[in-house]
Amino acid sequence: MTNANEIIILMAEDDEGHAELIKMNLYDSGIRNQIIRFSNGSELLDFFYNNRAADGQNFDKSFSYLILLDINMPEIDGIEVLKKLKSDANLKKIPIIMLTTTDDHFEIKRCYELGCNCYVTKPVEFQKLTETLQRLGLFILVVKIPENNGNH
Amino acid sequence: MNLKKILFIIIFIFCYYPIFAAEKNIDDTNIIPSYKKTKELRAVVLADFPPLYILDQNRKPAGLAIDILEYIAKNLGYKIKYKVVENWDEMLKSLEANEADLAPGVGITADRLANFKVSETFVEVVPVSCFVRASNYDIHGIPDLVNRRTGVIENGGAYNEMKNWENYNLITFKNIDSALFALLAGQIDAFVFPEPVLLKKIREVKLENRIKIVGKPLMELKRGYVFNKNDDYLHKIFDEELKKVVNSEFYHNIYLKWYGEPPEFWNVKKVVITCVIIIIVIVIVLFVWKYKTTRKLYLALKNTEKQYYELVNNMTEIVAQHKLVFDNNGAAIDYEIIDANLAFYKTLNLTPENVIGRRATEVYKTAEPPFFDIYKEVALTGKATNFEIYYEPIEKYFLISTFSPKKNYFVTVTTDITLAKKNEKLLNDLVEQLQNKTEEMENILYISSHDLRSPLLNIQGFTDRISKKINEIFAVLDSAETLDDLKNKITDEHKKQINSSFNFIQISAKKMDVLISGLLKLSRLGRLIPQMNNIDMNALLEEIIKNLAIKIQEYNVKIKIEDLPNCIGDRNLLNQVFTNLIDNAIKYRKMDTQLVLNISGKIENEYIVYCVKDNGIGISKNNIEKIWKLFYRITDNNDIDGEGIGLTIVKNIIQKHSGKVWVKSEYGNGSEFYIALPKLKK
Repeated sequence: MTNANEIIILMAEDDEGHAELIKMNLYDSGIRNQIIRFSNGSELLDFFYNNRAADGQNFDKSFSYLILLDINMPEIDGIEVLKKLKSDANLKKIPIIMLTTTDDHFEIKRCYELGCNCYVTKPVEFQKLTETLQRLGLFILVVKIPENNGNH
Repeated sequence: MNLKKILFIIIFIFCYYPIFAAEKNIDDTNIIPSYKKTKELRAVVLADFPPLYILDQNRKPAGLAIDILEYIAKNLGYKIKYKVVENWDEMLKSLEANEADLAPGVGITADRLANFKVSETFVEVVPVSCFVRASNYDIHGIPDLVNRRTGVIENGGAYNEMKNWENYNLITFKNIDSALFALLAGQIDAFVFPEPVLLKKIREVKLENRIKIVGKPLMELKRGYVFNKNDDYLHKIFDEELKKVVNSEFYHNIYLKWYGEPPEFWNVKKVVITCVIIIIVIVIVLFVWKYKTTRKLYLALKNTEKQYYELVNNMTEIVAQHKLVFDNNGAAIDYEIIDANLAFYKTLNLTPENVIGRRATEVYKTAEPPFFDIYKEVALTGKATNFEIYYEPIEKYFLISTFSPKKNYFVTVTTDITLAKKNEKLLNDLVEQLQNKTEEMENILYISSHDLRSPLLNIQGFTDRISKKINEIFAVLDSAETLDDLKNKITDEHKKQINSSFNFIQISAKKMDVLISGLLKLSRLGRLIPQMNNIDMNALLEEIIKNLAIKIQEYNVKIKIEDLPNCIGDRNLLNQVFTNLIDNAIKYRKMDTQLVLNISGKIENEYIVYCVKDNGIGISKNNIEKIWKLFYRITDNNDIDGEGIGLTIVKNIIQKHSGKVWVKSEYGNGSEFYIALPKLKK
């Protein structure tokens, strides 16, 4: 199911509903990549640092990852995760897209300062996400236009 | 003869005629004046009639008349041969007998004018006055001499004048001395005699205090030169010379020489006395003037001073003047209070006796003089300054302005700014409260928008999803030809997705409800005005534990409550605070350990501080500030229910009490929640 060229999307989102909606929206946008969901920041960090399995998979350096990170999460929030990953020489190349419910300028600025690659508001709109992925040079790797697109 | 010669003779005759004529005239009237050949004049003089005539030690004539005569004779080129006689009679007889050419100083009377040639210029003019004893007060002048014994000199001017007066009892004397003696001895009542002559005599014998002059002079006795009745020549030349002499400096000097200087009015004694009197008068005048001026100045000063003191004393500011006190090494060690106003004594509740002239350490009863470094600097450098202080004993704030009027001195003007300070503090408190409120409101708005949006997003998202699925189903319904076809096309996936979407919508709606009710609670709390009362905290905690009894029993919580100090607060609100804290402790207990709660309290400075200590899961360093945030929940563990507003409410209530709340915690090692309430009602 997974091969080395495919990007695995790691999503840290505490709200189950949001996670579900994002997954569905990504699918509708033609993204068929594997999406692994973490319900908070500490779970995601455990995946990288404590070899915690998620969806039956462990962190593998040979794979490519893309992280969707919610900002407001209990215990360890998105900002802290961002800080931690971006200050880690091994992990800082992983593209991170921040997810938030508001477009608070102060918060957006802070995320960019900490090295996030992009920032999108929930629920993730198809248009915004494709733009983002294009900018990140990930579009071709991530997006497969659904075969039935335009047929309904 | 020519005309020129004749004219010359005529002019010559005109010019010289008067000379010839005069020579001729004199020659005619002179018989044979022997002195013309011998150039020696014979003068008859008295032996003793000072100061006109006296005989010197060598029995030679001297005196005023003699000096003048010698002077004139010298000027005229004559020598004098003297004939000395005893009295006026002899003198006149000598002239009549042509035994003498002239008498240089004889009183001029009518009979003498008839019998002799008398000079028109006088040697002297003297008043003939009435002399009496100083003790005599009956005789006031010549008229009073009627029937009194009146002394006169035989054939003298007075005698000749008065000898025929009726009722005047004249007693004649040969010379002055006998007459003077008779007057002093009381043999005569008065002595009428030329004034300057007798005055000189009196002065010589020091009788000035025994004899006095009364009334107007009897007459003016004129003394002149007396010549032979026929001797016009001598009369003329002497008269001319005499006229010159009388008006000359020489005459004045001679006169003084013989009559002597009248006793100087300004003798040493008088000068000294006068000076002393003048000095005394000046001193008195100066003293009076000075007194008046000083008095005036003093009054003005006093008035100014009074105004100044009234001003200073009526000032609400405390004014005091101080002087630095130095030790033997010249180092300032203390300061002394020199002066202070009423406000000083009133404010510090002191009396002047305990303040003036005393050292600061003594007055304020401190080891170090208060603010000594500041005052020392001001008094030594003269640089004014001001500062604010809080004076603990009377719980007041003061603004102290200090300046130095002169080196080593300083004045303090102290203003009570307690009210201003209180107002300032009140204002600051209000501003802080307002800031907190605003911050809180912004926080609530932000968090509300965030947290309310989150379930809303789900509702929107899943509603979209349902609508999409339903559209798919409708499409299937439209296209399906048979029921089986329909059944095949509407899959379980559709059902599952629609069901789960509804489920999410319901959960989200419920979540929104919880959030909104939380907001409502906060809103209600915000509008509530705390009812401040004295609260028995031990009783309150007992009540809270009773209310939570079921929960406590259920979770087997061990609660230890120490003896708690009372406080001032709103009973219901504080109930909520402690209920929330205990509730939280139960929520965040360790699952594997019995929850032990310890509630304590103590008084710290201006606050009463309570502590709720648990042995729960604790809070990580990252979250320790977030716990106060609205809707923040430490975990998303759904086992732990709650709105995420418990601590927000606690903080809110404590803020309403002007108190403070904080937490000490370590992840895994329990938490200590502290609540500090002000001791005094605000």
